[in-house]
Amino acid sequence: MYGYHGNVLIVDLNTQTVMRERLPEIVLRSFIGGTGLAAYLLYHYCPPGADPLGPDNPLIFACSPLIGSRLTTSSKFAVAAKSPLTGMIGDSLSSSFLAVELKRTGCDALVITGKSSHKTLLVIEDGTVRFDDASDLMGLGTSKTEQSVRDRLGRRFRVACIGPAGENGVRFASIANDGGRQAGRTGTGAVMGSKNLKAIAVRGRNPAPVFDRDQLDLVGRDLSARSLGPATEKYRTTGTMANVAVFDRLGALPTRNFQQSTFEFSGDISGETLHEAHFVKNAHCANCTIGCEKILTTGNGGSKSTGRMEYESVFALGPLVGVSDRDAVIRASHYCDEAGMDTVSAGATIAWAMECFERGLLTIEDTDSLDLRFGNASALLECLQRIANRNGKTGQLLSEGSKLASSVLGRGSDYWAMHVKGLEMPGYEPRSLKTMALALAVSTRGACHNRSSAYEADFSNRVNRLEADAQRGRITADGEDFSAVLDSLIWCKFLRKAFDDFWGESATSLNLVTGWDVTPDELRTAGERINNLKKLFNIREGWTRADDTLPPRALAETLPDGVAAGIGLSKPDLNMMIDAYYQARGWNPDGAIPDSKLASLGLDALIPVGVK
Amino acid sequence: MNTQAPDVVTVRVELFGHARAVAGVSDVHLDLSPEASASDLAVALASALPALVSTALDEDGAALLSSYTANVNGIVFMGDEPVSISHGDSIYLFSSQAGG
Repeated sequence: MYGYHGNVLIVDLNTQTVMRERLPEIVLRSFIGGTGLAAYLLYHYCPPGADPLGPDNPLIFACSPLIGSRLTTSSKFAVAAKSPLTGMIGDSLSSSFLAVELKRTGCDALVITGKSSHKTLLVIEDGTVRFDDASDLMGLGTSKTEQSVRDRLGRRFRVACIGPAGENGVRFASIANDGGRQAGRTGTGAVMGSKNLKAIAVRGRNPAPVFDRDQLDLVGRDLSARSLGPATEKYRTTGTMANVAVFDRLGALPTRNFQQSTFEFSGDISGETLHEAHFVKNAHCANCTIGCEKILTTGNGGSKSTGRMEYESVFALGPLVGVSDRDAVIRASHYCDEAGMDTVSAGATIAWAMECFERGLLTIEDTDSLDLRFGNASALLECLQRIANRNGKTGQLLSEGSKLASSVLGRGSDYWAMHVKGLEMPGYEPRSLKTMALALAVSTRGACHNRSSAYEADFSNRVNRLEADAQRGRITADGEDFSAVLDSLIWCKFLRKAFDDFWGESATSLNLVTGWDVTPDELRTAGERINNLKKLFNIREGWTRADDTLPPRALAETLPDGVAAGIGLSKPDLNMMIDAYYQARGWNPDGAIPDSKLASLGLDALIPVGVK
Repeated sequence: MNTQAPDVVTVRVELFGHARAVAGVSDVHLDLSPEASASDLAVALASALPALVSTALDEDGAALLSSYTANVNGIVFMGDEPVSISHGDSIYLFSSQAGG
């Protein structure tokens, strides 16, 4: 077999035993790798109804066929588990050397089940696995954890780890690797912490063979050249932070917990200003020619804080909480990375609390004397620390995420909890971006901007982004299928415009790695299959059509400011788009997947018997 | 009363991201036809801000590169077909690589 090892490594933390299971070629060809393979394994290894923070919930790391190919941006992996935020499928992507080393250990995926009786560092070196004591690592931030493990085991080891947030069961905890990269969304770090697993160290010397290395290198050189052209310029220069000012002008920048769609201080924290005033250097993932990562540092005053910065972190820790202090935003983002927390969910949960505080639903006693008003930068930083450590009433409440926290607080506070299915909203205002509105509502992992590419349509003249219409159904379904293949091969999203023919070039690359004869149409079908499987997982966990919706505020209030002032999104309009989406997917009006659709995608034969 | 449309209208073009860094200014005022396409904008920009040629504009200064897009007043995206533009409008020039 080329491109794969053909097996999954199963680690049982209960018994500290290890086994390998074969991954048949039909499974690999059907789900490719990355998020697709992770979804398949999650469906297979997660018992229906499993407690997301219980030992039965598997934590899955899935490689891709392109890892080790030397193709630009291909050193990526997926992490999946049943999400402690949503109770549905949770997955996230991260990048760099960990992906390469994990695959070189000789497996295509790692499935971790059970719960260790002690704090554990899982060490995987080629075919051997051991369970080291991690007591000395507890409480360390992600950078120090990684450094300590590599100091102990050697620099060739690569490390995935959690910070204090994951140890403390913060439901939006992330998993960090390779110097602070994060598998950020859906709370997989909390799952890792629930298993008493502080870190995983991997080293391998067994790359999967490539079918046609010479031809692949030719293809790769051409793609690398294009990756340095205009199609990636934004990511190589200002980075995604450039969205801040543009979204503000377009009335699409969620501000003060989605009360507004413009931020009067957007100029202070725009990508252009941040880049000019705080830029240190660009950074790259392994095998990446783009180098999108912007390393920023704080200005004068206080201790220096230096770390990665991108749009979602600026949005969530800036406009969403009303903060325009650049140093505070950089410091907050860096703190989240070190504590191992998703910046989007952290910022959005605090924004919910700030609105509750200003409306009197949370009192100064509830917040342990924290003046939790919008724009209070020091309160933001203090609140993040309380969350990561579950300190006090504020930390305990907000570490649950906005959905659970609002159910605990009650008193109608769920109206201001800006999430879908439990996953907090990213930095795209749905009322002024109607394609995104639909994509956020129907996404299997909750309010997600990364699994549909739906913003592409809204930021073009292909649609009127301010008005709902039925064509959004097909656009969203096609975008999800495209993204599923992108995230399964795995290519970086920032490479997507560098392809002249995404489907053709992806099929060619996959075939040169594997020796297969995959066609572009087969890849499209794989994308559809992967999205249907994710939906099947959610259905098994109790999903109903009522879960495909947006937060009440988004459906009840019009936007008050900016070019989209007066624009809203009615429930009937959202339902019309959801109907169109289900129709485009070939699903029933209630969102259920008909048997004929499962059969046409081969899912009836591929998923475990008896658990459909 | 003169009801004829003006020959030209003056608009403010605001630059974002790399275009701003290359041009060295955050905005520029341009005269455009009241019915202008993205190409019309490119020609005017190339004349006013030559540094944008081969950066945000093609090497002839006659079209936006595919990596850039232009939007009128935060509402209408400019393309091959002319769109209506009024005196005092704002045009935003930014990366077409949406999202992040």
